[in-house]
Amino acid sequence: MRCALGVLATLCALFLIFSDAVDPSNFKTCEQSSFCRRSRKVQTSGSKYALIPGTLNTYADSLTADLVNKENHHQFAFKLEALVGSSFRLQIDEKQPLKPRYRVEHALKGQPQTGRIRVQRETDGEIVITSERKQGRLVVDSIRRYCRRLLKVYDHLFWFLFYYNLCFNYGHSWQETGSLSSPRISFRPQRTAGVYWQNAAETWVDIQTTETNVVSSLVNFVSGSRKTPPPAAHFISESGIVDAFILLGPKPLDAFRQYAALTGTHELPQLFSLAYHQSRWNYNDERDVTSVSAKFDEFNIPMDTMWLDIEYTDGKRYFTWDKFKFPQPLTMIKNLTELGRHLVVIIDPHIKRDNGYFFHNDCTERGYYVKTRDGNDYEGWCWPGSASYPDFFNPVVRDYYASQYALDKFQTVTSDVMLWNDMNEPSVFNGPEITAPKDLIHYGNWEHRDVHNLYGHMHLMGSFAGLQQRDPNQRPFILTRSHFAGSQRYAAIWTGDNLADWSHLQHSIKMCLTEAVAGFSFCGADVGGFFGNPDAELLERWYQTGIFLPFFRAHAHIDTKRREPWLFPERTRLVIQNAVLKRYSYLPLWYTAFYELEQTGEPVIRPLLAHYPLDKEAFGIDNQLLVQDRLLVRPVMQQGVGKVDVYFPSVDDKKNGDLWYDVDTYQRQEKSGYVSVSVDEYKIPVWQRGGSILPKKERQRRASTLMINDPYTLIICLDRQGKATGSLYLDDEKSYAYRKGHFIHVDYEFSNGQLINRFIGKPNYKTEAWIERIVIAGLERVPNGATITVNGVTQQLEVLPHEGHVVVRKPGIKMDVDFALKLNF
Amino acid sequence: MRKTWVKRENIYYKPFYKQKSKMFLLLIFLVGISFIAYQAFSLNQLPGVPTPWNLQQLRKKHQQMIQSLGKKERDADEFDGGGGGGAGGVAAVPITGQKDEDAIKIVRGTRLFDYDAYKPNFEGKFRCLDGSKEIPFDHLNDNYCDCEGDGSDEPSTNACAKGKFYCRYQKRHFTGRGLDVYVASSRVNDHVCDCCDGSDEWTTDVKCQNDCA
Repeated sequence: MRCALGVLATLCALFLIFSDAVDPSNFKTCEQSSFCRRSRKVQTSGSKYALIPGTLNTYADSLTADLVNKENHHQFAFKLEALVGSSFRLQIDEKQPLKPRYRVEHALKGQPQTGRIRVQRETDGEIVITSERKQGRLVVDSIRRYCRRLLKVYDHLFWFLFYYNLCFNYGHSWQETGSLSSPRISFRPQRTAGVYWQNAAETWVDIQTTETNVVSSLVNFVSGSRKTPPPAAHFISESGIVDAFILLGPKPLDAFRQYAALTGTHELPQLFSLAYHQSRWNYNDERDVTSVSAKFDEFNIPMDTMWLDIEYTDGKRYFTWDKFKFPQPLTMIKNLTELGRHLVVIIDPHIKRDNGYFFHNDCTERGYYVKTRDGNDYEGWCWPGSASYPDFFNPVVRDYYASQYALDKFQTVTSDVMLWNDMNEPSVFNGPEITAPKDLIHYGNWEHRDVHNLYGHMHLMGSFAGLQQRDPNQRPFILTRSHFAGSQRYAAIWTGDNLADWSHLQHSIKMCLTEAVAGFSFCGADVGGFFGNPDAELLERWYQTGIFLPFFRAHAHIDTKRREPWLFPERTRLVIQNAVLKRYSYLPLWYTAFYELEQTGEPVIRPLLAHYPLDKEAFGIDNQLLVQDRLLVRPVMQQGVGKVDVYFPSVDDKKNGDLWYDVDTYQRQEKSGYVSVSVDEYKIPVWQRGGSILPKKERQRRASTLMINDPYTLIICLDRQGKATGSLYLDDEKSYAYRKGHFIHVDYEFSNGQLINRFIGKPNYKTEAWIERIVIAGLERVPNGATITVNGVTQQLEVLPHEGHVVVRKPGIKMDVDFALKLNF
Repeated sequence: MRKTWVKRENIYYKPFYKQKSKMFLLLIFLVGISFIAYQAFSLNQLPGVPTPWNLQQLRKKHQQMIQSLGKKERDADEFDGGGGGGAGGVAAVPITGQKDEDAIKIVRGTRLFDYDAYKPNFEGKFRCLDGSKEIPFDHLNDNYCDCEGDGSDEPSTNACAKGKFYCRYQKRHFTGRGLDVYVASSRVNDHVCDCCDGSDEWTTDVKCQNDCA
């Protein structure tokens, strides 16, 4: 969190636009990494590798072959597996290694299900391999040519030929906070494909596009000519095996789903974790926590979670409290939870080397720490001073760590206290690149260089297990900084230590969109910026942007000025209050979106191209985002502007777009393309797509947990045919009972002036919530009333006309009954 | 110039009753006094307004009110606050705590000051307190916000964003002076006790303590 802007800057650098606000010299380049420098040069020249004739075997689900290096006659085993859902997995490992190579563990959700593989066409030119039902077709430019492109496998250099255009990519290499190896997803208008390169070592990726012109690539694709070589990616990993998953789409959402099928999705979070979090390094003492919470009530700004950073501990010994600043933590927690609020405390993986600290003593006695090459406990420098790092790769260590969260061990918290795992890259202040040296030895005798990017993931597994064992009925909430593919199953992430600067505000959307398409929907940036002091305008705009990212937390460095909303002029306070209330009103949408993410793997926030792949202009838009396919958000992220340019995407290449309704005024945008929209300080430019139905809760409460029985409002925005659909999910917002079917998931459908609902599964959850209002925008005529039929009983309802929309007053429908609502003209 | 001396006895002093202006002022003063005295007598006929000579009685009433707040009674006819379909009636809360005939009943969450505003007007409608619109009287407290400007049509529910809930216990001087004690409508029946007498929670299962004193 504090030591580096690593995650932030690296992702930004790789995402489309390189910003000049982030200093690239802070980061290692390929030239500074010896294996990358050596391997990078070898590229398109002829290959030293060849297929050993006669070793090609085809099985029901896979294809194996042996490769040989023609120079040193080293042999490699090649395996291509077909997975269900149009994906392939390609693995290459040494046949007789001197030392076994590390294979990534625990990143995948489970063993991927294999499908049927079939070599369909084997002409001289190319081989077409299909998985079941011809959904996925992997076209290989002849095995021989293909293998020629596998260069120097021994040095873990892998040259993979993309058949598809690569426009949108996402990468992360070993950096000081280097935390993940990640999927790379590429797009081209008609087809989308992705590659997930599964490797936990330092990895570099070169992307070469010979055709920079999208149009020419499109022409080539349509005409089937492949005169220009397709763009290619060059993956360079320091160790491990070649293990790549090729996801064949063909639509963007298909590729996201295929990736989610491999690595999993977020669990449905507790509702409070989607609401507003108030954090600071640090809230000084119990009184500070209580008074900040009370101030939010005084100014009527909803707030759900207070956070405590490292200073709450007794000398940075985690699982302990500072006895002077926090003498009565349980009373403080009770005061918060009585208001429906939660507390989150930080627990980092560095352990203070102190003979009076039980955790350190246990780890030392039982040999739980990561070892140096000589077999001693590794000692680094971090917040507590001299610190060691538990080896979470060892399942015994994970179990021990998890057991520390039990309430009889960690007695000074309750089961409502959730967790923040920071510095888990791991951060070592005096280490190379501010992390652990590569020659440390982990469980199973693996070197740190083999597993570095997985360390945070293993830490999370321990934390998650700990919270689940502590209270099996409550869904854990964990925030982490380091993450690997698959970490989304355990935790939310934030974009690391950002700066109170307009460019970092702009990056927050780019980074979270990147994370979202790579499986991490639960992403947010520190509102206000971690370092530095935001001025009133920046803070206002940051709140307005933050409310449309899934994780919404204000956080600040210890050296910054206090920045709770009431410390600013009244106008700022009101703007912030307005924004936060807006977030709370959309909570049912966020919650539904997270449930549907868990069910389908479709990200909660999406770039425009996820739904408008035919719009070439939309490819490059990274200052707008979609919430599911229902909202288009384009926050104001420049200083002192009275207008913003908003891009409305088109559904085809003839500039036909959806209708978009301004969520505040219900003003309708009918054309696609750029539109200049004027804004004032309160305005957050957001549109709802015509054809969508969206649930809201418009009653104000001080915390989201108190809204559970509040009534819903449905917002119906009609498309050109006068139709709309949308879903709503609700349950107890806290426990795992939804896994046993205790929930209500309902689809609403509006057509021909009639709204009906259809339950997905059985509505099996008792709730006092009801529908208090139905807003319909886009009707041609104003209805003079409405008739609602529930269980054969009809009732007349009032319809109130407004500017641009009508409101059906108080339908009063319970959430678990079937109804039909007809507008009368 | 020669000095002349006038004897003090020879100077004419105008008697008081011959000074017209002073007499005029006196007259006004007397008329004023008599008017106030007349008003004071007619005050006695107004309901529930203190006059010096029923002070004793008033003190007693106030005492009873404070005592009654200690035991929170739940009347059968009190508005139930939640639920989708049902239109709730207007909740009437006896402010004296005694269910005698002459006790004034006011709508839960309103203040005595607005007593008359929460009665149907001559058209049988309710007029929002900010005067922005008139709504049918049965839309009062029906758990749907109609007066969006000030939330005055939903004093006993949490339907309005801008509404105020006046707590039952109003800490006042016996002359009626003092600030109104209220919480935001969003705090009504939200499982958290906000009024010092706990009067903002009656449909939820929280047990509120009375710590008004």
